[in-house]
Amino acid sequence: MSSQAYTSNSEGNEPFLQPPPGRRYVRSFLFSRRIDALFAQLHLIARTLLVLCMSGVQLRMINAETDLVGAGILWVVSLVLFLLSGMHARIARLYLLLTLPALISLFATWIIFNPLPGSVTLLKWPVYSGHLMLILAWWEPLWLAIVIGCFLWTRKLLIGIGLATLVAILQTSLLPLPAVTLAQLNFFHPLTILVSDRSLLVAVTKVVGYSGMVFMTIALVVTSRDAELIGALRQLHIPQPIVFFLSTVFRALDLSLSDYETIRQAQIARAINARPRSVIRRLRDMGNIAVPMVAMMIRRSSEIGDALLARGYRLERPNVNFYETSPWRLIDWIVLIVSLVFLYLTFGPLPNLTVLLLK
Amino acid sequence: MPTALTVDGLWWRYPTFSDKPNPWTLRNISLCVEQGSCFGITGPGGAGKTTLCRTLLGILPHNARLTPEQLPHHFRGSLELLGEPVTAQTSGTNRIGMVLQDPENQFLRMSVLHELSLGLQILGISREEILKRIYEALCWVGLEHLWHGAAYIHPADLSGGQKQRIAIAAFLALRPQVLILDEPTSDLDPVGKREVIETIARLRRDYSMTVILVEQDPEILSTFCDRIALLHDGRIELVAPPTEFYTERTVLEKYGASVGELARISWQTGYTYEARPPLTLDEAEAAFAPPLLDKSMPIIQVTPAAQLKDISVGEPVVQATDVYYHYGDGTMALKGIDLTLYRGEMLALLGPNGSGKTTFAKILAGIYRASSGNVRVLGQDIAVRKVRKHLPGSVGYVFQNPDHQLFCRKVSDEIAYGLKNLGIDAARRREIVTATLEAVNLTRFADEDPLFLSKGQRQRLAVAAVLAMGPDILVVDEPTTGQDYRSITGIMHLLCDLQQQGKTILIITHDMTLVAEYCQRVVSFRNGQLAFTGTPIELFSDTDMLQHSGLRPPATAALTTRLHTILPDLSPFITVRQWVEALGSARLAPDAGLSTI
Repeated sequence: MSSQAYTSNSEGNEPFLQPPPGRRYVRSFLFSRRIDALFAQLHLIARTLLVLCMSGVQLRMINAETDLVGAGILWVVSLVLFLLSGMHARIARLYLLLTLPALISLFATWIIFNPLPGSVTLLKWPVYSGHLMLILAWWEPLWLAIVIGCFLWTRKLLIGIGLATLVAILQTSLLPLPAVTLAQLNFFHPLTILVSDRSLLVAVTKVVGYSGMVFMTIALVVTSRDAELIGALRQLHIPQPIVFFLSTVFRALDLSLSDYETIRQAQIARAINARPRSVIRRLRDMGNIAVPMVAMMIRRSSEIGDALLARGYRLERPNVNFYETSPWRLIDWIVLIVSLVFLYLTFGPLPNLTVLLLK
Repeated sequence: MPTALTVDGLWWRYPTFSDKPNPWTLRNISLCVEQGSCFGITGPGGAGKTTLCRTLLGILPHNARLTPEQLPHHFRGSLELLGEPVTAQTSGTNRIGMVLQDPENQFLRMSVLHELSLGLQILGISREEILKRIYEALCWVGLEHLWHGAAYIHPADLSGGQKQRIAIAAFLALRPQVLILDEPTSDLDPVGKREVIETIARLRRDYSMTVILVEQDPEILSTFCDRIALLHDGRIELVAPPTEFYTERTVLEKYGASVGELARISWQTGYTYEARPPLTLDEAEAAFAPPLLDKSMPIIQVTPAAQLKDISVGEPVVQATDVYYHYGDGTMALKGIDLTLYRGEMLALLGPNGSGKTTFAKILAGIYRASSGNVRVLGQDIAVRKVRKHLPGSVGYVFQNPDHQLFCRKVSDEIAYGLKNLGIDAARRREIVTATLEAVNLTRFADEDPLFLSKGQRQRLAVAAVLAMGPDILVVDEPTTGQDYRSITGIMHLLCDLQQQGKTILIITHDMTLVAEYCQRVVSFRNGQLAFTGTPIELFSDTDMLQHSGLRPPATAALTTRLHTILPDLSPFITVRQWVEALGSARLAPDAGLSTI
């Protein structure tokens, strides 16, 4: 065997550090990324700092300042990072689709629960008067009778409640019958849905800001590999046992995920989907998964322990670095400076671009 | 020859948390392994083989956290490795290594490069030296093609055989003088098995390393080992070179050791090679050909193999036409499968790992949904959601590892679990639970926690839990992988009984002996396509087909193929029973004219 077959003379060109022939993607914490993804070229510490500091500014812009223009600019930067993360296009699209409902509900809750007065009121709708009333009315026995009747007939509760409520609403709006108010007590405060130009601006800014942060976080998680994390922790001089513990945890998690998949399938094979199930039954099914999961973990952990001991691992023994840490390069210094600027903007003076632009 | 390992009067029992002490796991073990030799250890499950390996390495008793006062109650005897006593530090020195059974559990890091370097990093060796050693080790196990990109290759990108060879390489890089291999091939498919066996052969031939090989497969044991020990219930019952080891019929049968087919034929007929059972095909030919060549023998009638038995095969129960399946990432697992299952047959589904056989079986059980094509189970189209939901009532799926499918803390609850899901009322449920426990012989464990049953019992429980739901078709995924001879026979008899009751059974397996003995029909998958459909006899006589699919016929069938050159009229014998009948009547024909079995 030639003595130099295993390595090449130039640093950084070693065959074992090159991508395997024909492979374009490498596994990371979340799915996989392109091996040559641009964002992944940065050092993990630089990437993490950038994402944290940018999120800090973003949070300030959407919460304290309500700066739509500033948040929009950062959103564009986040989107660029997301696109440079080397995520598989199909999975990226899927994730975008998954974040949509979250963003829509964020927008809706912000509009409903934050009646901010602005210069233009677009909608004003009082929904709660601020007190509860105890009323005796005709629709009440009617409602009860329908629910009970329905249950006795079909053995289903929800259908009865739905039908009874519908009938009750129809009765009160079409055929007003006398009702007696027994008591009235104050509870909470009156609620009004108020949509103004101001509340709309706040809601849109929030959606833009949070979606930007989602992009950044996905980009960070998709680009990071566990080997890289171990190296970064080593460079930060975290004690060896902790680093080693973490690396074993990642491997064990990987194994547990594949166990979970099989156990879930075994549950389907035992007719878990045969009949419609209540929420409580579904929770109990999840609980049942714990039994084989724990059994597998116990059996695996004893073997993993043996394997570690057989390789000579002892808690007190240090171990040397071997292509785990990545070098800190000029680009990482630049990113570090950019991150520091963002950090300064988070706590120092920050111009509100939207206000400046409107002036 | 200097000794590598000496064990003298070794006793060990595991500590308990209650007052009652555990029984001894190892009882008075004494052995001596010479340097550069290969020492085999075999024995049924639960005999203490893995525990013995752990003591050889010093993991037991030194990592069991016993106080000096407790130690004599759990550990007695002495162990020496290369002339020095085994201590807590022994496993940390790189003189001894141990490769475990499950390739997953011993892959400790997330890339091939770091997995190989782990032990060397702990030793604090320089980077240059680590690189040199791990590259060498990778070449020794024949995986040098993984060197390019080793930092990016994740354990999930490797096959089981490759993972096991990486584990061996990780120890070779540490340059140990003694290597323990604890059932290194039992979790692997035939291709992976052969890869690992060839690696072990190379270690023996080129590096004269001392190897301790724990193994069930008699063929591997007799090929590689200088001496074999039989362990049963913590005691060594027999130590002998392979040639003598397999002559000890009484001992081996009494303690349930796995014995090769050629040895079993020899035991039952009395034909031997140099006054001992033949171990290779060459020896078998020399032992069994002469009586068959004797033309004065009358033509004998031999019991047909399982596939020709009078099992009333009925109407089609599963009809799959043009089934395709692709995974989320777009890879095609199945490419147009057409297959029909008939009521009452036992069908073997063969093929290398990743050939799509498990995917297909999971589609039949409604766990996956076919991407396209049509699958009808008992006449119903399983593409319909409602049909698929109720499918577990007609197609049962038993997973390979019983630990993945036991959800309850009580054996009887486990059986009732699926019944509850199917909505069967309590009284009927109790009836079924009692009957099922009776059928699999687990009644006395009804209130036990499944976790505390033995592996064989857990597997019977897993079959029972699926069986209780009353399926007509039973899919069983590798029921015999990594099991000893008695467990294999136990589980196969259970499946045969079910077949007698009219159930259709589909077995996914790599075990060719099982195929020859029990299955009526064989289907082989390759790259997501159907490569072969026919009877086991047709499969085993088609050498091209076998080679293409990476399958190896059982020794019985291989012997038939070999003897065909000198005995063209020889019937296609594929089971031990057939060979025994042919040879037995040949031997007894002149005086008795009776069949022996």
